Amino acid sequence: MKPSIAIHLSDVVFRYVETGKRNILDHVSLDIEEGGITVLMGSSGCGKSTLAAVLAGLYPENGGFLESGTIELYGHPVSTMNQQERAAYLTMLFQNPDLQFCMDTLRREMQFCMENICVPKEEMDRRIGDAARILGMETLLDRKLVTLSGGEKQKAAICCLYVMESKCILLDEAFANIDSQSVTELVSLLLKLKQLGRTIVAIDHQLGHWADAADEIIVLGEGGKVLQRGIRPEQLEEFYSLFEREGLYYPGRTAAGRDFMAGASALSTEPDISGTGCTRSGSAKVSASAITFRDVSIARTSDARGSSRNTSDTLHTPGGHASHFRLFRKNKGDDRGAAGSKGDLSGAQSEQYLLSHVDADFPKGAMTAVLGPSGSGKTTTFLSVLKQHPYEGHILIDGMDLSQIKKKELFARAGIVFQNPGNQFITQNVTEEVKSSTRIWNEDLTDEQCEKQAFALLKEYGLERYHRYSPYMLSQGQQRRLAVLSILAGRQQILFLDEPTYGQDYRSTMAIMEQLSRKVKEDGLTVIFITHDQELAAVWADKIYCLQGQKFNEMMPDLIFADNAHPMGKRVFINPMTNKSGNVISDENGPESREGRRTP
Amino acid sequence: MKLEKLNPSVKMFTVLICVILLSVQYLVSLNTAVFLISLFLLIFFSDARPKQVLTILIPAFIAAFGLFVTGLYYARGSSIDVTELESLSAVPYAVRAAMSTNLYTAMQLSTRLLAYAGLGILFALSTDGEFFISSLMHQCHLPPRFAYGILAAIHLMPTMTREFSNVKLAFRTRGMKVHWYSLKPIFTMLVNSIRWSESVAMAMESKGFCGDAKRTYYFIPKVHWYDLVCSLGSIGAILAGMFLLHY
Repeated sequence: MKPSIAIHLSDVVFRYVETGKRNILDHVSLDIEEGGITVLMGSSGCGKSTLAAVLAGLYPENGGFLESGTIELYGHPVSTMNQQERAAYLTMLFQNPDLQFCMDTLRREMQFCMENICVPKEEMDRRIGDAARILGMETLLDRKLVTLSGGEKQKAAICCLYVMESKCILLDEAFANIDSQSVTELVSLLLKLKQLGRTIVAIDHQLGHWADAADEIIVLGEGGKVLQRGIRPEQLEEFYSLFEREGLYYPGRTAAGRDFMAGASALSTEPDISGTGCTRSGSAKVSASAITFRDVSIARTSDARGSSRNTSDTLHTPGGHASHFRLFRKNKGDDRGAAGSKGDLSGAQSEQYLLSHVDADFPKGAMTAVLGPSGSGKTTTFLSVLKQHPYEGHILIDGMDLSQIKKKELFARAGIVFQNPGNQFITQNVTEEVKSSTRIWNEDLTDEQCEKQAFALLKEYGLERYHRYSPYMLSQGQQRRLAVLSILAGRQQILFLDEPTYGQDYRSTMAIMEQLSRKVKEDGLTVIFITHDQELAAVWADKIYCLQGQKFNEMMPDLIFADNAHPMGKRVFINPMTNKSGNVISDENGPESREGRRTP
Repeated sequence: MKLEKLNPSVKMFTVLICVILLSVQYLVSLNTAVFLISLFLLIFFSDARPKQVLTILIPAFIAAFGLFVTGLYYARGSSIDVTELESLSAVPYAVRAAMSTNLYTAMQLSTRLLAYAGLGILFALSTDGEFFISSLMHQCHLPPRFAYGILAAIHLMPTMTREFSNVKLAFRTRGMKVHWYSLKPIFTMLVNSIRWSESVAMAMESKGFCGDAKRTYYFIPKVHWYDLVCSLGSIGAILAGMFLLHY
């Protein structure tokens, strides 16, 4: 029997502003058959996410304008169904794990999902039991969702989709911020679902995640048009040029991984990661370390509530942690028994330390990558360095003990770019953003000088086109670059980046990393970045730490490749085209129209 | 039997009726009794922590004291009969005032405030938010659209708090002075929250949540006989107090 069509789009034209000229989806036609795993790829801003939202019926209901076209799920037009009916055919997993739950525990969330589609009560317990058993989620059922790591949250979300028994599951870059271990687990969960007859459609930048699982890969171009479909993972090579042209990650093969290592050394980053790993030629440079950890222990505060309130002030000395724990336990005593939740099982019995007695050195004027599973405390560690989280032991910055440095001085030396750069814009205008940074740290400059400097920086970073825009209108990648820029404008010498390439396509990833490495080389900036992307770390970092088992373990870059035994597990890093000329690669996508629609 | 087990809607209406009843009487003894009984119930028949109860009551005590002083010195009418107190002219004015009927007015005002406060925290500290909302949905026909919207917002709070501290940290690391009253981080948070609320709403919809459609419920709060007994009991007790007590 021929498999039936799960998703059918024909001639769909969609844009955010009815009177706008730019169609996000421009005459898109696409059929996806039932029962496989299909991966949709495309450069940032090509309308993948919009396509997903249109498929799920979220647009045009929540905004936007569908000019023409039909969208059918299993032969039923989306527009004639309400959310409840649609959920039987298609449910969706979103990019941001924090923003997809309505309830506080997984059990309650699953109940909520089943209530939505009118599952009788008796059936609910059975389905929850089944799901927990089959997907191995028993331990997470009654934990508060806010205490879970990103990977666990996505697993929980998959669990919810499982109990809803909808025929098709759509993932919108659901693995963007998940560590590789969790991704593997998530993919295996999805494979189980596939065996149970579900159809899975995934939108993803990184094909590597899907190497084992994908049945078909579809490449989308501008306007969501299908450029190439029917790519099977084993015939990827034939489409290399297509991936390159579209600026997409291209998963390589075993040998390619090695070749690429050679290529990487040739790359301008001055790394000499090719040989024996971290014995580096530029050892004079390495000997100085920007940040040194001596016998540092950092306690976990599993409570999601602001770690910033109980700041380091009280707790620099060893022994201070005892009172700290009491404080947090008290906070956690949030037992709201009656409504059927069994309370919070996490916290007290989980390990109390993220780091214990760690020594580490982060070399000055170099890039250091920090890897490690989600929830292992990477971000928290850097909050400690910024005096926003208590620690024990000694952290030295440029040889000075952190406890001796005033916060203001510290922030003049070290800056941080968060996962969500939207958090750190202090103005409503791109130029103003850079300018105000310049002004804050250089009080002697006149307004014109600041403006001049700001413009020069914007130009250098390829953002001058957007100097009138609000920072919130830029695309994710541009926002992040602006955030980096506005910190560099303040002349900080140490820069922390939390997931600098999260949710971006190959081209913008390279653009960001390229700029950073140039700053490192030219101005002796110290960059420390957190990432889940091992290859990224191997290519760009001079030193790699993996935070695991409460320790910083140094990793040899080439080991990363050796570890990834599977041929599909790695990616070839195409040398950024503009690398030789030293120009910045600017990503072509203008301010993402998704934002644009709010301020037409 | 814990107060948490009682049906929140019934509890809410009981408290409301009690408050209305208390507002038409001026009995110091009844007010005091209501306040003390509320405290007693909270401490011995609920999961509320005594310390929390007392912390919340501090402002109530301050307000009550304020009212007491006001009532004592500035009560309407000249209820201080100075001639009657002439023999006590050696006694300071404050004491004379205290011995007058103004004392009773002051007590009436301040104990009434305490009674309200007692009833208020009795409800607030012994009610689980989720249980309350689901009870409102079933007993008071609150539309699921609002109910689940509120729940989603409540459960988003920890994430928002975390993000807010991130925003403040980000601002600080950029050299901005950030105080608890600074508006800039709040503005940033608002921009973010709009986006978030949209995301959460879309996630809920994609999981089949539909404001108007029929839905099943895993847990339906019911009104039990003991809810009604407690409710009628407390209202009856207050009525009885109103008729039987004299001061």
